[in-house]
Amino acid sequence: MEDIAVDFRVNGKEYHVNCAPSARLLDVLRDQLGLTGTKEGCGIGECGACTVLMNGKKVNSCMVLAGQARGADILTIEGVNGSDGELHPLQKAFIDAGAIQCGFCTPGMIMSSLELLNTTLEPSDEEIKQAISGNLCRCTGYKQIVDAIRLAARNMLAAKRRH
Amino acid sequence: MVDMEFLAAKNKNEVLSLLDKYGSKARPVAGGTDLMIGIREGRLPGGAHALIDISRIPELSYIKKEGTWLRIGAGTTHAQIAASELVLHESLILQDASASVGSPQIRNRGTIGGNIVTAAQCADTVPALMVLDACVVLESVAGRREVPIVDFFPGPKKSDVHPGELVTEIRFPSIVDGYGASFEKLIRRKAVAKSRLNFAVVALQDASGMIQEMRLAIGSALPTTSRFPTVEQMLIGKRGDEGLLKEAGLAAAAYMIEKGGIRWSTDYKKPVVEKLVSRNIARALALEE
Repeated sequence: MEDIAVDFRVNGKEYHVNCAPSARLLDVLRDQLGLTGTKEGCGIGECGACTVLMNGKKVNSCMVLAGQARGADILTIEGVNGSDGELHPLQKAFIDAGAIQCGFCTPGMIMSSLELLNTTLEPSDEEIKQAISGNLCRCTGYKQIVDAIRLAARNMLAAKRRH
Repeated sequence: MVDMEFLAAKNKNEVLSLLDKYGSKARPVAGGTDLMIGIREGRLPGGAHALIDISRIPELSYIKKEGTWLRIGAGTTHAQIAASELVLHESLILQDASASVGSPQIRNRGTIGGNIVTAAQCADTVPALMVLDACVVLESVAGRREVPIVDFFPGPKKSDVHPGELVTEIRFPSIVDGYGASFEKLIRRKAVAKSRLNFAVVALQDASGMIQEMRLAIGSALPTTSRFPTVEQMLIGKRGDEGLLKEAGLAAAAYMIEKGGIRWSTDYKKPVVEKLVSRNIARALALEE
């Protein structure tokens, strides 16, 4: 079958790609754009390792056909840090709180919690747990991850108040 | 990778024209949360070789009240339904059912129309919609028809969609003051888990506590999600007390075995159905928190 054309924006940059009609958003991000920070875990929408923001909402990029992302605004882990290359407060907090072990789930965890922190300044622990309920981690036991997201929320709020 | 065609449409009419042209050779894809698993395994459902993307068609996504009906576009996501004050107010339970689907990521993509058309026995919105007396609206280039959701599943994993048809809306009469409702999903863990069983109840009692109306649906108890008419009828005209609730639970388990036979899972499901039917009826009658 002929390739299809997909025009979309990833991390603020416009892209035009041609891909197989059955290609997933995940395949295009990793194999065609070289954005390998987004991981493939289960491939069936259960582990959340491939989470990206699509028009501001978290989605499993293994569950989206590339053609369905036409015109969309996609944010991946490569796009969350500042333009000066400085780490995002969530990335810093994951390091500071020891929330990374093997690191495979980390990009997905950060994208899932970023959607929460984009809309909620002072999330409760329940809201944090709910936000990452579609992301599996097999190393940390989640406590450090929840700690990291709480820490990032506090740091972001403090920074906001300073400005 | 699957050899398939990907078709895009700008609006509902274009989708209907494509469905008319391709017939059973094309399937609409919305959130894709079920279809993508098949694609990964190298197959499209029912011998289709084309997918028509309906995920970017705004006119399929809405929640609105019209007269005494609540109308929900088939392309409305679970996240949108779970967050809707209108759905909470007019249904009491559909937002619970939608909020219990999969994970936040799945709820951001998966749609109510997809949940119904896929016809999985464990679909979370289906028992809730059954006790809301919902209708499924289907459209094609030839016209429009409505099917009560209780008649929409001719068999396991089968839904009453003819070639060329698109499910465009789900509608149900608003739940008015005086009604109570309950939804409960039995799962192995709190997120990203398929329901082992799910229960939905809508009930109406008069000022003296006499049950005037009772609707009970259970998912994954029978080959298709179903209402439990024998249980509903035995409760009408009675007052809900502990003895009656227990009887209702026993009657529900008996109905499950009568209609579905004894299966490997019956040892487990029978006592669970007994207990959870009692509990959800009690909640709908405001006898238990």
